[in-house]
Amino acid sequence: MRHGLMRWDPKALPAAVLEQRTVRLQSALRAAQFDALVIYTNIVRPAAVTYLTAFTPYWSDALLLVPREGPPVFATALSKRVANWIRSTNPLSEIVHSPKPGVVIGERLRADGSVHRVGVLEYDMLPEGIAEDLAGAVSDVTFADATKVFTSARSAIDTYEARLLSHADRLVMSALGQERPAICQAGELLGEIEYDLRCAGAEETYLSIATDLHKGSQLQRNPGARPVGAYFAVSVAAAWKGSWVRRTRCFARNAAELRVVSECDTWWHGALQSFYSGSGIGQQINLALAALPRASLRYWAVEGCRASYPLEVLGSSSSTDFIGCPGSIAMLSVGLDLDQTPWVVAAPFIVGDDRWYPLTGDTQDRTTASGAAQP
Amino acid sequence: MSDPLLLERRAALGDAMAAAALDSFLVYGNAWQGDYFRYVAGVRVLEGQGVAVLRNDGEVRVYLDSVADAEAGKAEANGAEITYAPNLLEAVTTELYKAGNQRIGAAPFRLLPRRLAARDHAITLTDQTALLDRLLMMKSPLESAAIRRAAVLADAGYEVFRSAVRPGRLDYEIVAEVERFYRTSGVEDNFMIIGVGGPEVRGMAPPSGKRAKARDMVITELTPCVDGYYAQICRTLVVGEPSDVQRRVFAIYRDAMEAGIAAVRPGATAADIARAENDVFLEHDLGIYVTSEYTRVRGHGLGLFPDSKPHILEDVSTMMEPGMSLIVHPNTYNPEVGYVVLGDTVEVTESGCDVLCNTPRELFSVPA
Repeated sequence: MRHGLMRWDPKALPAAVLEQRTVRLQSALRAAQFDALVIYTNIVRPAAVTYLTAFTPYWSDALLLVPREGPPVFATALSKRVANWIRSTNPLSEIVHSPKPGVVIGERLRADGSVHRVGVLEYDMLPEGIAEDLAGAVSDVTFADATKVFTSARSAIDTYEARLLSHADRLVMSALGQERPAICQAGELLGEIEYDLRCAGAEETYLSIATDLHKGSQLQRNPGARPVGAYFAVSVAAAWKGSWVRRTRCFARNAAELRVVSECDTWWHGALQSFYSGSGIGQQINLALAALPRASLRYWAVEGCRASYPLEVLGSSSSTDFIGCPGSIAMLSVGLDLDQTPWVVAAPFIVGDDRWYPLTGDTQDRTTASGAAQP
Repeated sequence: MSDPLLLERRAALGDAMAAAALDSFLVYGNAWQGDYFRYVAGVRVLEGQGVAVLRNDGEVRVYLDSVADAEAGKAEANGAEITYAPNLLEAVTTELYKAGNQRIGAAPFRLLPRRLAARDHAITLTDQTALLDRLLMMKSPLESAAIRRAAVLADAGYEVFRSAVRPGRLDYEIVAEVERFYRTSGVEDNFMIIGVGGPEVRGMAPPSGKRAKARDMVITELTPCVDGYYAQICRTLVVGEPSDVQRRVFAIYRDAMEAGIAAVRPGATAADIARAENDVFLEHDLGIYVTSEYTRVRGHGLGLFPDSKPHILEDVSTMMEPGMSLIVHPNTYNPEVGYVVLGDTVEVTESGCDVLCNTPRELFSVPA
């Protein structure tokens, strides 16, 4: 569930921006011959509704109906006792409470006699109960997948989303940048990082740690009292007002691993200057590895937000290469072995017209990795 | 596989499948409703969605569409084959097609992705949610022990919460204190909502940036998770000395909770417990505040989900049986002081119930 700061900030995300996003989507829907769009949301798949309304559910599920024109209708299974909170995070939509949001939205569709073809975002993934409620409440309406229409309308991030993402990234960088050399237990280390993130206003955060990279780079979420090794990695995904970033860093506490971190960091900062748009990132990473001949690539992956998932894998070394469209966000994760020593990193980028740009200053990244490496 | 809880659960489901003549059982889960999935898979799904299939020969296959979930799942040895499946539906339908013409049960059917549930292909899933609901409600001694461990941490978490509240403190900073404690203590998850203020507070929700000030009531519900099992505690405190009105109103909630707990025994229904709580409000002419306009439930089951069946409501006829775990909480709005919460986790025994929370049932006060 979400239990960090959840509040709409009209300065960070003006109502006019939300309206513009909806209007752009409505235009795309009309062009694709859809009379309306239905979007499902829960805490795992909130991103599309957040993009249009600023609202993220902390619990339960809901539907957003984007009509052909005019403001959306938000039907939620959350009860009326949290109505004030919902309004504080969802400034524009009409809000309807019902244990069966699908019935409410279906009845709205039926009431509008001009609605015949309704798009559904990620229709195959729509929960069966909601799908049955929707279908049972309409007549003379057909539903069809409209994921492509939605993703094409929201593919490039706007200035406001970029600022929210940058803020989220600064929170993560700050929390990962704190020196905590005295902490020996992994649970305590993650607890301190989470504390910093939540005190800074993170909406939610997911943390994991590989406590001893020499024994493996698998990230664990609940390490408890497991000891923190001399060479470990921490991964943080965190949200600020619905905008998610992920960063992963290695930390070294003795000289041998410090050299590995330093060498890989140097390679990374050189490589990211060379990533250009319009070509597969996997191919470019492999080319960039020529500058670090003793290293072998274990994996790479790019996550981004195109529909309902805040962070969805869009390409990876085990699937397809990734060519981002200009203006999109990309969280790039890379794992290497340098002289049989693993090294991992994840950081957010904006895919520019010409090349990839770090979402937030990468100079600090480098200081962080080295600065945290206290004996 | 070394998790005896998981072994026990899979064996119980295997027996139920045999009795229902099912060849396989498919469960779906996400970070919101993860209990059906967790029951079989043993791993937690946090950033994406998961499907697990248990066959009647004991083989378990787990499909996760988040690479982070899959990596974390592989780190937890649990005897299941874990597959990262970015196209979850494709991977699962392929698996089901391979299984051929089997009798496959599924739960929770209502949340199952539409394409999996659809009857327009060769695979037919039957809704067996009720079968698994029954298993989820009835706790074994091992499960009960996990809930008791979680209840200890619910008490300890409330101590941290109380210490964190002071004038000027932001609601999300208070939550941060609790989460730090829980991460350090090995608690994998915590369902937590909060309310800060007075009569304007009509329910608990995530933090919205409110600062605690003198005379505010600060309400919370903590639900730590240990080994997958949740216990819950609800308490109310006042910043500064409680007023006479706050004390008088709180006493109604204490009476209602104690009436509800007294009603918990084998053979009683969820409705009996709800009615015992609600009657106290009726005696004080506060009956309107136990309706759905102001509150949701008068308690609920606890286990692998922080809001399990049965819901404690006057129209729920589920009968209490030894081994069931639930929270009794008469939480609702009061027009004089705002939303008040008070609740303890209990376990149904042969003769009544054990109360698992040890935090005093008092209206706490912190220095203003």
